[in-house]
Amino acid sequence: MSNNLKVLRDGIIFDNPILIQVVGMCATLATSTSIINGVGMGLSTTAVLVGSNVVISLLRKFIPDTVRIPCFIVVIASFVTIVQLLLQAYLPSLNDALGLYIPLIVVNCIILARAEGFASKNGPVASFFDGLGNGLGFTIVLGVMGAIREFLGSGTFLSAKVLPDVFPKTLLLIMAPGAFFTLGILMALFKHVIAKRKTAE
Amino acid sequence: MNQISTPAIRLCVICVVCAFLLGICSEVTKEPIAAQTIKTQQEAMAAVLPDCTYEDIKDAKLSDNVTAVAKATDNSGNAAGFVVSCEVSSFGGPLDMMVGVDPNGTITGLRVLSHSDTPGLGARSTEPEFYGQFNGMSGTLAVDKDGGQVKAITSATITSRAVTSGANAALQWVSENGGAY
Repeated sequence: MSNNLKVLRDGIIFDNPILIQVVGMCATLATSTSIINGVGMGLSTTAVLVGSNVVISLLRKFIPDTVRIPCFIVVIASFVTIVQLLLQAYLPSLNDALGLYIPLIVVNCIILARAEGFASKNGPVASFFDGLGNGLGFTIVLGVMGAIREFLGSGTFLSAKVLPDVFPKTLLLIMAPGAFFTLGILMALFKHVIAKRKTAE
Repeated sequence: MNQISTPAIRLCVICVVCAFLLGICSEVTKEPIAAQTIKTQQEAMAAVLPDCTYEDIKDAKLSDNVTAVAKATDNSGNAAGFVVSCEVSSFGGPLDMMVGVDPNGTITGLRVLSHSDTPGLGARSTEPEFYGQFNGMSGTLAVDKDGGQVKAITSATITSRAVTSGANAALQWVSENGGAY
């Protein structure tokens, strides 16, 4: 397996940003109330993550070690703001759908964690794949959490009604505590599967 | 000395470049964004009071809940009523809404534009099932729990009350000031 593919796979599975690194919790808890919200947040984060990883990687020789964090933050915040302005001006319908998430991306520590942990030490191509892998890993988990919470909490799947009204809806699941429950159970299951795989090897 | 000045200069260079790019971007996108905001507002107005042209009343007497009022004129030039923008406080914070009221003081349409209420509960105020019931209502409104005619959203009485109070503020504005414009 080539190195780039390995980086991609690690981002999605073995270094999954939510289930293993446990970063980006605020966005995870807030936007996983439905599949569409979760996947929307995941994909916009992926776009920003890929962009910021490549830019940070290109600048890695120029950025001095002692002030790297402020440099990362300035670059990431500018990047997100430019994306937001361009979306507002030229793609208003996409902005209506994602507008809510874009300010959340700036504070999402996945972006800073990948800049610090990967992009500042690796070339732009590997950083591109790292951004893509982590972004997709984030998107998949948000989508799964969204599906569980939407199904049990609102009785819908992709906004289409699937549970009859007589079936009690667990309102708790679409509120913040429900996000913690869902995340905790998913995390435990995931670690169990990974651990099993490791002992098998 | 060099260990201090080099990082400082480089951080400064990055900040200057970023600020410059942001400045250019903001300048380029200013006009399209302003045009977009006006278009969104016009569309919201067309949803609550259809087939009219709208003109902001700049000197309208505003209250705590009423943030802006536009006068609507229909295609044959007759006064068709008012579009009242309201901000009320709801469960999760401020809730922005727009209410169309005809000259007789009857609601022609109501939309919740933005809110920060609970998804699946208060957020259902943006669904036609809830806001549609306001069409044709007039006078002073109250939710069913308080003995009124507005059917509240299940488990979201606070949001339902907030939207109802916004509708009341709009109706009151029109009955008090509507004749003057």
